[in-house]
Order: sequence, then C-alpha cells, then structure tokens
Amino acid sequence: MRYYIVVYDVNEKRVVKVHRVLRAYLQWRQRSVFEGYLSDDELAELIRKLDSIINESEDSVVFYSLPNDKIVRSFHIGAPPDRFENVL
Amino acid sequence: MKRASAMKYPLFITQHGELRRESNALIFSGELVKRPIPLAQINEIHCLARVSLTSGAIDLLSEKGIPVHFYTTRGDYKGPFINDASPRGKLHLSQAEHYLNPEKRLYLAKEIVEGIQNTMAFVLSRWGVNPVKLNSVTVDGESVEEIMGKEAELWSHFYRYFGEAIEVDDFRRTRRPPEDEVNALISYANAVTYGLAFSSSVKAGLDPSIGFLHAVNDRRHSLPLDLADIFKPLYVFSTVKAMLKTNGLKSSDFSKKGKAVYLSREGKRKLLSALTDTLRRTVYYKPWKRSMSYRFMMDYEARRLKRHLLGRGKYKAFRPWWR
Repeated sequence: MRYYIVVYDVNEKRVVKVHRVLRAYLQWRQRSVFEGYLSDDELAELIRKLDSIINESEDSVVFYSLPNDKIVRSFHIGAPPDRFENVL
Repeated sequence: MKRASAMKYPLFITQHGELRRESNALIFSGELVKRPIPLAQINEIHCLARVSLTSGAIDLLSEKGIPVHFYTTRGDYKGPFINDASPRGKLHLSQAEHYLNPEKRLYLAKEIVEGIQNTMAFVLSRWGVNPVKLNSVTVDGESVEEIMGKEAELWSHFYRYFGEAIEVDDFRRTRRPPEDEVNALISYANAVTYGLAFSSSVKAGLDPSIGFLHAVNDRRHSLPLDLADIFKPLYVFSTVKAMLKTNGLKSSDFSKKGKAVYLSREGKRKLLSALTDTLRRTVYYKPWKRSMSYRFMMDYEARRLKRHLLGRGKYKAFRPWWR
C-alpha cells in the first residue's frame, strides 16, 4: 500500500474519460490531480483501465509514488483544493 | 483474503440519500451533496441516515468486499449488508464448541475482560490518571456471570475516572436515552463502534451471533459486543475526551427531547470526523516492522480470536504496547 499523486495531461477528447476512471479509485484534488492510497492490485487495475483509454502518442499520466501521505507537505495559493471527506 | 488496508477510511453518511452506480463509479447523491466515492480509499460504509442502495451499487460494493452498515437516525444499529458467501462451516462449528464448553468459554470471557481492563488502564494513564482501583480488580471467577460482574465493576471505576478526567462532577453514564451531552456522544460513538466490530468479526470469517463474554441472545449479535467493549476505551472515550478538550462543541450540535439528549447532524459530523482521526492513528508494531492503525487493531483481534478457535494459537487479550 503506497500513496500516489496522479496528474494527467491528455487530449481534450479524453479528459472526461480519464477523470471518470480515476475518481472511482482516488480522491479528486483539483482539475487534473488525484491522490490516495492504492494497493499493488488496485494500481495494476487502474493502469490497465487507463491504458485502454489513452492515446499513447498524445497523452500522459504521471504517477508520483510515496511511502505514505505523512511525508507530503503542501500549501496552496488561491482557492483551497478539495479535501477528502469521509463524513458526508 | 484481501490484504489489510491500514490507511483506508470508513465512510460515514449522515444525510438521507442514495448510493448508485454511474459510469462504473459509486456515486452518493444526498440532500446536501453529490459526490463520487473513491472505492479504493474506503473500507466500509456506515449509513447513519436513510440511504438506499441501487442494485448497481450493491454489485460494486460486493465485488470490492466493502461492508455497508445501517443505523437508525438516532444511532441504533439496524443491520449490515455484507457479501459473504464463502463457506466457513468448520470455523463456525469450533466457535459454537468454544461457546458450549464451559471451560473454553470461561477462558475466552476472562481474556476479553482482561483486554477491556488493559485498554482502560492505558487510556487513563495517558490522561495522567493513575487507575489504582481499576488495576486492583483481578479478573477471575468460576463462571462467566462472575466475570461479567468484574466487567461491570471495571466500568463503574472507569466512568468515575473518566468523569474526573473531563472535570465533570459526579459523572454518571446514562443510556436509553442519554441524559446529557457527554452521554449522547458516548452512546452514538458506542453504536458506531459496534458496527466497526461487526465488520471486524465478519472480515475474520467469524459468526457474529456467537460471542463469548456476552451470552447469545435474539436481539443483538454478541461477538461484536465482545469486541467493541475491548476497544471502547480507546476508540470512544479517547475521542470524546479529545472533543471536550478542544471544546469545538456548540449547543446547536445537540437536540433535546424531554429528558433525552441527542446529537444533531452537525454534532454527528463532528463526532464522526473526530472518531475517524482516532481510527486512523497509527503506532509502530515491532513484530511486523511497520505501523498499525487503531482501526486495524480490532480486525487483528478478531483474527487472533479465529486462530485460537481453530487451535492455531492461544488467544491473549489485547494490550496496548506503546505509550
């Protein structure tokens, strides 16, 4: 189980598709950024799903892999990004 | 069986709404918010309001093995939806055998109460209380009834120490209904802890209807009652104490109905997010060379109980190993 920050840059035509796949797995942070813990199985599954959507010559999805979320220090300027809420 | 997921969140839903499948993701649409639920980030769902599930949502949740628990709006446990189709006949039989054999049941009941005592003493000493009276109780007896008597004695000591720690003069535990704000918090958190314990029991493959300290009865599952009691000091009382200390509570977080005091929706939200913070705390566990979350300790306890029932190890009561 590792913590991933996923950012993507894909052709406009596929932005919605990629967003839909990612939101089923990770917390949405802002426009093209997702974060969260994934097991190896979940990661493989996610990569497989993304692979079938993206066009390899134009699109790219970057995974930053971290041992946990405690080592991430972040700050923001402008509007605050979405936080993951587990109490709805 | 899936690997333990220490870092995942429980999802608490405190508004009426619906969970459904939409373009292969789980979506919650409620009175106040509509949100996709990232299924890889959560390990269980607690519906504390009227939430309906579509068959698509049930499909997704059972595929991922995520249990869903339903409560009344007041926080009484109603029941779970858990996809649990694997045969566990052998384990269930030995669970029943350990209940029916007086000696075997007595051993487990004693260990469970010792676990309760351990967590109580740990939590209190963390608050700077030296629980002399609590520690002087020796958990021993000839019958399960005697052991339950010891448990009652432990709780009455614990409530007194707890009252001192939160600086409330003659704190008294009241339930059905809770008669003040602190009791309302405790009751609600207790109910959720019962739901957590239900998850842990079923995840370990145990039959929740057969407990060892609590006798089998037709109204409540007794194994979650056993497990919940061990972790209540850690989950419930640490959380409530922390909430009272930060004093983020307002009178609008509660609603009064005659003598009874209940939590309002905002109060529930505050309590549940404080409880989440507690459950997600981690401590280093040396034998595994990695950290374990508070939430996972209960799962692990259920697994150790299972090992004992199958004769693969001797169950020893939970004892907090860190300071």
